[in-house]
Amino acid sequence: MKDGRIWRRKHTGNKLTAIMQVRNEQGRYLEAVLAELSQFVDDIVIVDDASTDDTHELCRSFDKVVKLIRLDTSLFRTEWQLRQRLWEEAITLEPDWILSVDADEIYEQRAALAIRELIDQDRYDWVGYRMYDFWGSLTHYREDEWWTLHKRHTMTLIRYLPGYHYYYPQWEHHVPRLPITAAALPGICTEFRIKHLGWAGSEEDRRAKYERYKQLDPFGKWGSLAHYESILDPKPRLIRWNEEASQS
Amino acid sequence: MEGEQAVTATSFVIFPDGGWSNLPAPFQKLFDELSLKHAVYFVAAEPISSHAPAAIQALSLDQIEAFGWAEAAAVVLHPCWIQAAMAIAPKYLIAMPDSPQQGEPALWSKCRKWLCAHSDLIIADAEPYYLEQAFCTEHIFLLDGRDEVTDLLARQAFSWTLSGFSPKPLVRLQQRCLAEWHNKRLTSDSEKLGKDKLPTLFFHSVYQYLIYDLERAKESALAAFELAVLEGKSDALSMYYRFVSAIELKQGLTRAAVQTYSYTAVTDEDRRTVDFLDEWLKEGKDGLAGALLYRLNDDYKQSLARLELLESDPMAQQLTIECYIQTGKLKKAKDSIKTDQLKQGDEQQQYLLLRGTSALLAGQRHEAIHSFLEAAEHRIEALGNIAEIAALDAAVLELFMGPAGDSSPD
Amino acid sequence: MNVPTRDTVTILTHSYLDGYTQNLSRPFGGGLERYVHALCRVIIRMGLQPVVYQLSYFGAFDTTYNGVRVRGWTYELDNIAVAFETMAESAEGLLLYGSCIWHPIRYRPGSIGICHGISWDRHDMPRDTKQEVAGIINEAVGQLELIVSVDSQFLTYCRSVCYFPDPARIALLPNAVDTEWFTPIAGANAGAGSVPLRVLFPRRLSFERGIVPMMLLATTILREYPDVIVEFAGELVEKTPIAIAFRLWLDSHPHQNRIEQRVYSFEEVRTAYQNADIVVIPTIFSEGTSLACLEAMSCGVPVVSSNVGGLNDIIVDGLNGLLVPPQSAALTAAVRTLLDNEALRSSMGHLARLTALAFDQRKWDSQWMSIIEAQRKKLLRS
Repeated sequence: MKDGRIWRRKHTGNKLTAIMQVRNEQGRYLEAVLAELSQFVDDIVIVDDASTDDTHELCRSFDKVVKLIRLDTSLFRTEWQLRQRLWEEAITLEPDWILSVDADEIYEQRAALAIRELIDQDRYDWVGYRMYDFWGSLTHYREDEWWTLHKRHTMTLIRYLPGYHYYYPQWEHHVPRLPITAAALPGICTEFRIKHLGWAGSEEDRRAKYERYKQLDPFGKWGSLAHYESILDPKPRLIRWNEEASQS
Repeated sequence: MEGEQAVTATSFVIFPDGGWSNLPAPFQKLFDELSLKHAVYFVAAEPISSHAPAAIQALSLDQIEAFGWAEAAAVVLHPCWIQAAMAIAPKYLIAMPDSPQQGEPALWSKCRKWLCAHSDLIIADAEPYYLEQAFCTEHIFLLDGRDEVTDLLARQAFSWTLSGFSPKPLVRLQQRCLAEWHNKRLTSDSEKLGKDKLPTLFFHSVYQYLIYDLERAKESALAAFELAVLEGKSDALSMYYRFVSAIELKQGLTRAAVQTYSYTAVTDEDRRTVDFLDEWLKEGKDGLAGALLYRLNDDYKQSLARLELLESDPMAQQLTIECYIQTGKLKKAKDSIKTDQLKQGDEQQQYLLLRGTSALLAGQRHEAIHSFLEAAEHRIEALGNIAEIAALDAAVLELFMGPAGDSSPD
Repeated sequence: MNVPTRDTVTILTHSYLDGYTQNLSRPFGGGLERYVHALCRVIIRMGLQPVVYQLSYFGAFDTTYNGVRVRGWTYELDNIAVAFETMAESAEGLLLYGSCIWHPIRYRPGSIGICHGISWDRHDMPRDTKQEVAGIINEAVGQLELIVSVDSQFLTYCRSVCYFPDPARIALLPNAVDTEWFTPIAGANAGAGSVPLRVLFPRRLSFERGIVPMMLLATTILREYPDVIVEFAGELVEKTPIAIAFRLWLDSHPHQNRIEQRVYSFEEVRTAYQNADIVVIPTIFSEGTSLACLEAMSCGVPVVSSNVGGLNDIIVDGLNGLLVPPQSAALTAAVRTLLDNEALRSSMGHLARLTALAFDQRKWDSQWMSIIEAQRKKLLRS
């Protein structure tokens, strides 16, 4: 800022930038996700982790994707590097707020409508949402012993503070989607919901995912083995999604 | 200690906190050594423990008055001795107080501050307290038996002080040693540290800050911040990240420092402070902003150093007085107040209480009580300051009588 | 409505016999208790039967003192009003509410209240509290048939703050002094220059009675006048901050050989006044008609007083005493004025004596008799 002053938080006119990492999303939910996002964010930054299908072209077809980086070699096995790269690309655009979205996440209508109000204030610097794991369909989500993500809050939306120390731990897997130090700042948890569709597909899809986890993390170093096993549970407890319902 | 000839204190008198056995082992070792070259006395009603060196002699309260203080040092171990120790005007005053305890009487905390503010040398036996004091005074050393070199430097500082030489050159040396001591733990024993890693990282950063190794200080501070976040510490932002603002100040990056601080300002009061700082930056008052920000990081020493350069600014005046009061430098605080500009109410109260306490520490009991009474005319609470005098008298008697074993009265 | 039964007059009060130290053999030595005592004497002289119901910190009791039944009632510290209402339920005859007018008591109809002065006149007490008190006083004025006020301050307060239809609802009846007992020494203050001059503080040593400005005054005066003695004649409640402060002050005072502190019994206190050249009443707040002030004046001693409460009713500045703001600087200056001017001390002392005569005990007695008589008649008629 000029005249010696420091940067101050804005309580109006905040720009909302979505960031996403993608890899071979053709035939899945990416198109729907990008279409929904385009309704309520200002721009989108994507890093394509060396997709071998038409993912790249799909991303390019959306106007709001202002930056699209294509990696030649995949960084998937060192997840923190992938996260780091996406982050660095995003902040060159000097965003006000960053929304970290996966290629299989859709925000409920209510959440999308409320987002401007949430970011146009100067009191808190992140927002938490309830994320629901849809299971085998677009109508039901899973809730049982290992599937309680929605009982906590997931921080997906953060304000960008120039010069703040943003840090991703250098882990290979299960790296948080946003720098962990962002959570040290004040934030709020809302009752707005995100639909995670990664498990909403077919049984083969889920099995394929299971196999991948077992291959990458056979000893349960990064995640729980019991959690992986529960993917195959033939009778998971499913609850019907109610679009109008909200706990707030 | 003024210029001219350096006077050697041929003897020193220990004003204790409990019996000889109650002294931390490194202190016992220190006094042991020194008893070979100096006459050492111990203020106590009862005979001194058989564990003490034979050469150490007991001294009664009456004998204290008549003692030859012109060539002797008073070594004070309990804060409540402060009034007695200052009234006799020893050649050198050395403070070796206990660290502040949870729930201790407010009077003790005040006395500890006054003691440290008026001492020629302070020796702490615990690191957190040492660091707190390192931000307030010049002549502070740690003596906790952790290794040969660190301890040696502290003992040297004591000897130098007795010989009339300023131990200032040794301060930085010891801090370097301590920085290195933490560094070793981080590099070689990192795995074994476990829960200790976070404080070790942080202390390491603080030492580097003290010795002006600022880039490394920042690295350590940020590493500590990261670890604090990973460990889910609720004060990650307000303690570890905030310290980065002090480091940036020392690097001369005032604006960056204020920016960093602004990110840690969560409470309404903190946010108002950010408004002030921002306003001063806009008005070009970087010095003032820096002084306040140092103080927000508890670095009173640096704060005062900045404020001295801003003498004419009224806000700087006010901050200076507050810094002096916080670090127990009452006489300086009192002398800085322009009495003809005093406003009725709080300001005047503060001045009267300062005047009273200064008089008390100078051994002028009647003048002290008179000032407190003047304050009490407006606010009855000031009578509490007079009650504190009585409490101090009682504490001194108890310290002198020396309860067997347990050291703390009350 | 209560009908006078067996000619009883019951006085309700929060204190009479010494409930503080559990010494029930005599009243506590304060102004309020002396008032109740004197009132009992008046009632007996009227041929009526006084009964005193008081609050008791240490447990209920039922005893007789000087022929008067005194009952002590237990109570809860934060509900004095309820305690008074409970006492009133068992009370017979005409009811006199002797204290606690700033508590929200529901008064029994046909009763008389007494106000011993405004106790909430600290300048730095919050407005909220003062407004709350105003509401309570307003209620009291509405419920009681008559309020006897010991000073004009409370009278003016009610007129300016409360609403009441009958202007006679508040009666001014200043405290009194026995001018036949409290007299000047014959030939006193004759100006024997070799005798050290004595400055007297004749009250309990408490904050509201101005012990702090008095101590400050004493230090200055003792330093400036090598022939002056300062006497503190009053009780010190041990272990309180005031007591600790006073003892420490005295112990380390450079002129402690010219400072005296003692407690006089009621019979002896007259000598203190008679030996004094100047009396200082430096009340900071909460003062009705100070008995000590009247006693001093009755003994012909000039008074330096603060302009607080009912003191303004009896001292006229420059005439029968010196009246100044309750601050040590002003009080000290006034004491200096008198120390420097023997003739002034003498003339003021003389006028003080004359003033005291207008507040004689006998006048007080007869005024109370009229009040009680009138109220009893009223009650009998209805």
